[in-house]
Amino acid sequence: MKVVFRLYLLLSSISLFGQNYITPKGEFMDTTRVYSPGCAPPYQIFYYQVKAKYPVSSALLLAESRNFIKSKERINSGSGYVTFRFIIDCEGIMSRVLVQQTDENYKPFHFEKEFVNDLYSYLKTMRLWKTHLRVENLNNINYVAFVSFKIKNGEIINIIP
Amino acid sequence: MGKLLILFLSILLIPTSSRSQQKIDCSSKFAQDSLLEVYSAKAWKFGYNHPDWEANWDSLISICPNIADAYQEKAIPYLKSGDYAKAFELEDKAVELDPKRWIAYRGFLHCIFTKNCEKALTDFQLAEQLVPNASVMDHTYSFFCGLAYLETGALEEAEKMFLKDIEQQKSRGKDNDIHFNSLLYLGIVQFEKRDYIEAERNLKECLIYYSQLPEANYFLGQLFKAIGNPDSDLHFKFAKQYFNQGYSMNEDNEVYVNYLRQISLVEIERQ
Repeated sequence: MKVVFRLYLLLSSISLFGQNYITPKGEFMDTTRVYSPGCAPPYQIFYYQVKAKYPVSSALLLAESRNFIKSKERINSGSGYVTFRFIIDCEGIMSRVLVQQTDENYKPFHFEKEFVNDLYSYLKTMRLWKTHLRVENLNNINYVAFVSFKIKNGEIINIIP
Repeated sequence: MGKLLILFLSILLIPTSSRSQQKIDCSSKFAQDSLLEVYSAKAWKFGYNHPDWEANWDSLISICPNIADAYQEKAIPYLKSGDYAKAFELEDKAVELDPKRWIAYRGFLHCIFTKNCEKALTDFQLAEQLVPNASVMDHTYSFFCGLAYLETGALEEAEKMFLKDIEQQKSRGKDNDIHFNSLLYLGIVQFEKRDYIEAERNLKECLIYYSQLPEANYFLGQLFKAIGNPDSDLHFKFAKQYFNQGYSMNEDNEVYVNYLRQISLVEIERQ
């Protein structure tokens, strides 16, 4: 019974992977919040308040993400920004992933869903987030971070921050 | 202080009668500045990540919707959390109300925060017409145009802009130090143009001003590697050492975003 239940959970999580959830707070790739045991309470702290910008340069991430998207062998289109904003818990686990999309003029826009899903899959390969950070007397804090992909004619041309 | 008191009393009196509401003259620079002073002080007590930050600026906008700074301030948390749609809607409003004051700043945001080079160049061209030879966020407009051209691969234009930026800095007084990042980027552009002699000269000059700058050491190391100079290893070693000691490009906004060609430890360790 336990095995069947676990299998059900696994399959349901696969089917939901990459799915967008529209809520009053925006469009999410993942609505759950994950806080590992031992992490501080979920205060809203931003990555820049704890010097937690992702520790790999934009140039390297750009090369890596372009290869990742190329491996999907899809022809993408559209220009603008796809931004994922999420929580990184004290162990470096990403959750609660909001997605925002705009055109080059920063007006709301939607890229093809498969492309956004591929970008999200790439985002989940980024696993070098800073962990076990401290603010004043608070240990093991969680923080909010974002990664924005700048797209030109379906190609990633920059990664922000 | 007296000014603040008068303003405070006048705001207190607003709800008492509809007649007194008409007394705030939003077209008056004095009224705008006074209101801005009061609302800024209130807002910065919370900080821009507090929900009252936005409410505070909305209050000011409801009193005088023509104060450009209110929109620019309201945009800050959106910009810093990557919500470009909301951030630029507000920044655009600020520019519309006071282009002389805000267009160069928006150009800076396009250049540094969203890497939207075409828009950055357009804004700086207009800014140059409105306020010639000025600076924004510690640098001349030419510096940011240089970055925008470098980002798009227009190396000749980028070089011209960084040279102009340096000339502008020199023209402000012969005792003025040249900003090390101006020399860094000029050196990087020349390196990418394979003008190794000029690149070496400018990167070395940059290191005179700031010897611990990891990027200057890294790109000088790259340059030496390209021309077969064994000193390359020494500069990669310096780049790693200073990076690990926490030295960086020393730009105010690098805590939020990476600057163009800014390196990480991964690149240095790959050498």
